[in-house]
Amino acid sequence: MTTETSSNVKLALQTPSSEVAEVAEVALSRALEFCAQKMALGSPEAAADCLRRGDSHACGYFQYGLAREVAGCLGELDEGIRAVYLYDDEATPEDACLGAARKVPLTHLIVWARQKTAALDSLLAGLDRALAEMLGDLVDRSQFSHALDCQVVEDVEVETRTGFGALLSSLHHRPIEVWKRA
Amino acid sequence: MEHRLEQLPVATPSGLTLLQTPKQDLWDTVLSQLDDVAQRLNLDPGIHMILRRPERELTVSIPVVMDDGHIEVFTGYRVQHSSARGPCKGGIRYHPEVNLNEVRALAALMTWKCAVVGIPYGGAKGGVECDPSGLSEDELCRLTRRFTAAILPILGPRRDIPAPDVNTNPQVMAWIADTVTMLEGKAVMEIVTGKPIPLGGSLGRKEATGRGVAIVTAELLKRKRRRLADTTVAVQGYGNVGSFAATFLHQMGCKIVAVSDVSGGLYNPAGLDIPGINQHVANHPRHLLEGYQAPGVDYITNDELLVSDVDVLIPAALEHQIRADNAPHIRARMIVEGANGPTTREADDILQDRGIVVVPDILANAGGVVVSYFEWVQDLQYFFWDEAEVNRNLKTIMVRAFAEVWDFCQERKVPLRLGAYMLAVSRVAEAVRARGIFP
Repeated sequence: MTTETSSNVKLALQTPSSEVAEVAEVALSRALEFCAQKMALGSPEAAADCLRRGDSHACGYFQYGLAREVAGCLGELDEGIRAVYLYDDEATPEDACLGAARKVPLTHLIVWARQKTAALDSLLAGLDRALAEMLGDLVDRSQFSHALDCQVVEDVEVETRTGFGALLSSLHHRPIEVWKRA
Repeated sequence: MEHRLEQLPVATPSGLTLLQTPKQDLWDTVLSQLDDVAQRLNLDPGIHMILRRPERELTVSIPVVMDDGHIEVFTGYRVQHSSARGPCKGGIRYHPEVNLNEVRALAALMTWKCAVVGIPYGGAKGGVECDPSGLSEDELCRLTRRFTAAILPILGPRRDIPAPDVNTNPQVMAWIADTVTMLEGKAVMEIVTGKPIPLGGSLGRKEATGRGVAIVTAELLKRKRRRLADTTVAVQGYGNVGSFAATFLHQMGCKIVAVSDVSGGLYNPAGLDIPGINQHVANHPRHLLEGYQAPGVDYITNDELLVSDVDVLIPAALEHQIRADNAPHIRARMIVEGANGPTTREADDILQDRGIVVVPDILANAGGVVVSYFEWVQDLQYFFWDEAEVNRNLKTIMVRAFAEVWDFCQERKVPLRLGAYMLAVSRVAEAVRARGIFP
C-alpha cells in the first residue's frame, strides 16, 4: 500500500463513520428516487416495494442510481479519484442477459484512482458496510453481506491494461462511466 | 491504408496479435491479425484487400422523444464485414462510448467466429451511442424501434440477423422483431436471434456457451488421451458460462476441484459437489458462491484458483486474467478460454513456451453463436426442436469444429489460437474465391 501524502486523501481517512453512514443514506435515498422516476412509480417507497418483490427492472435502475451516487460521493471525498465505472460481471456480453435475474443488486464498480491508498480502501469498506446494513433494512437483512464490489485501479494499471484496468479499454466488456472528475 | 500489404506486422512467438490495445486502435489490431494470418496463408492479395474492408457501414441518426417531452438524437451503427459465407450475423450493443471503429472490429471478429465453427454466416455488429441504464423502459423501446427502422434497409433474415450484446437483451430483440413485423406487415421473427422463447427463441441458448466449453474440453482431453474421470478442472467465473461449463464437465465425469466468482473461490482436491453448489447459487439472492460451506472445502482467492494444481483451467470470468505475472505459475497443462480474451499476449507466449495447450475463445466459447444459428434455422422452418435436439446438434457442430481446428494445427504445426484464425480466414477467402467478384 502506498503512503498517503495528499491532504485530500488524509481527509478521506479522517471521514468519521457517522459521516460515511450519512453519505450512504443519501446515496440510497437518491437511488430509490432515480428508480421511482425511471419506472414512473410516483414515490421512492414504491420503488422500495418493487425491490422487495425482486422486480428485475427496479433492481437495474436502483443499481445504476446507487452507482452514480456512490461514485459522486467518492469523487468528492477523495480528489485522487479520476473516474468510476459500473460493469457487468460476466464472461461474454451475449451471455450477460441470460441468467436468472438477481433479486438484490451487488454493484460492481471500478474506481480509477491516481494511486491505491489505505484511506480509499477504508472509505470503500465503510461505505459498503453502511450500504449493506441499510439495504438489509430496506429489503431483507439476511440477504446482505456486501452492497458494493469495488475494484480500485491506478493510472499504471489503466495505461498498461493490467487487471481490472484492462476493462476500461476493453472491446468485449464495456463498463459504463458513472462519474468522472471534470 | 488498405494497400500497405508490404508493412505486415511481425508475428508474435505464439503467432498472433491478441486484442489488447486501447480501444481507439481496435480496428487496426484486427487488421494486424488479418495481415498476419494472410501472410501465413499466402492469401491472394486481392482477397486480402477485400477482407480488410467491411462490405457495408451504415451510420444513422436516431431521434427519440424522451419521457419529459424533449427530443434527443442518438447515433447508431451497423457494420457488415463480410457476407461471403452467408447472411451477416452479430449483436447490437448499447453503450455511451460505442464508435464505428469498435463496431467494425467486432463485425470482423464475428466473421472469423462463424467461419471457425463452420456455420453459414458472415459477420456484422451494431451499436447505439447511449447510456441504457439512464433510460426508462419506454425510452429504450422507442430508441430500439427507431434504430431498427433506420437500419432496416440492410437487415433481413437472409441479409443480416442481429442478436443481443452489451446492454441489450431478449426484450430488445423482441422490440426489433415486432418493429420489423409491423413495418413489413408480415411476421418476421427470424430477423433476430436471442428472442424470448414465446417469440421463437431457442431452447438451450442459456446453457449453450458453457455447454460448448465443456464439449471442447472433452474433445481436447480425448486428443490428449486423458480419461475424463481422471481429470481435475478449475473454473474461474461462475456466471452463465462458467457455471454451466462446470456443471456439464461434472456430469461428464471430470472432477471439478476449484470454482470462483467475484465473492471468492472454493477448493476441494477431492472434488466439489457441483449440484450442491448450484443449489446454493440458485438460492443466493445475488447468485454468488458466497457463504457456501461443505466438508473439505477450503476458501481460495481468484488468483489462487488460476495457479491451482489441476489438469484443465477454464477462465470464464473477465478478460486479461492470465497475465505475464501469473502465467509462469499456472500448473494446468490445458486451458480452455470460456471468457473473451482472458489471456494477454505476453501470457500467451509464456504458456506456449511452457507447452501448455490453449483452446482460444473464438472456438471455445462459440456455443452461443451456434445455438443462435439454430434459433434462426428453427424460425425459418417454423418447426421448433426440443432441447435434446438442440444439444445434440450443438455437440455435432462443436465436435466437428474442434476436430477441424485441431487437425489443421497438427498439419501446419501451429498453436490452436493461430490455427483457428488461419482456418477461419481461409474459409472466408475460399468463399470469396468461389463466388467470384460481381459483376
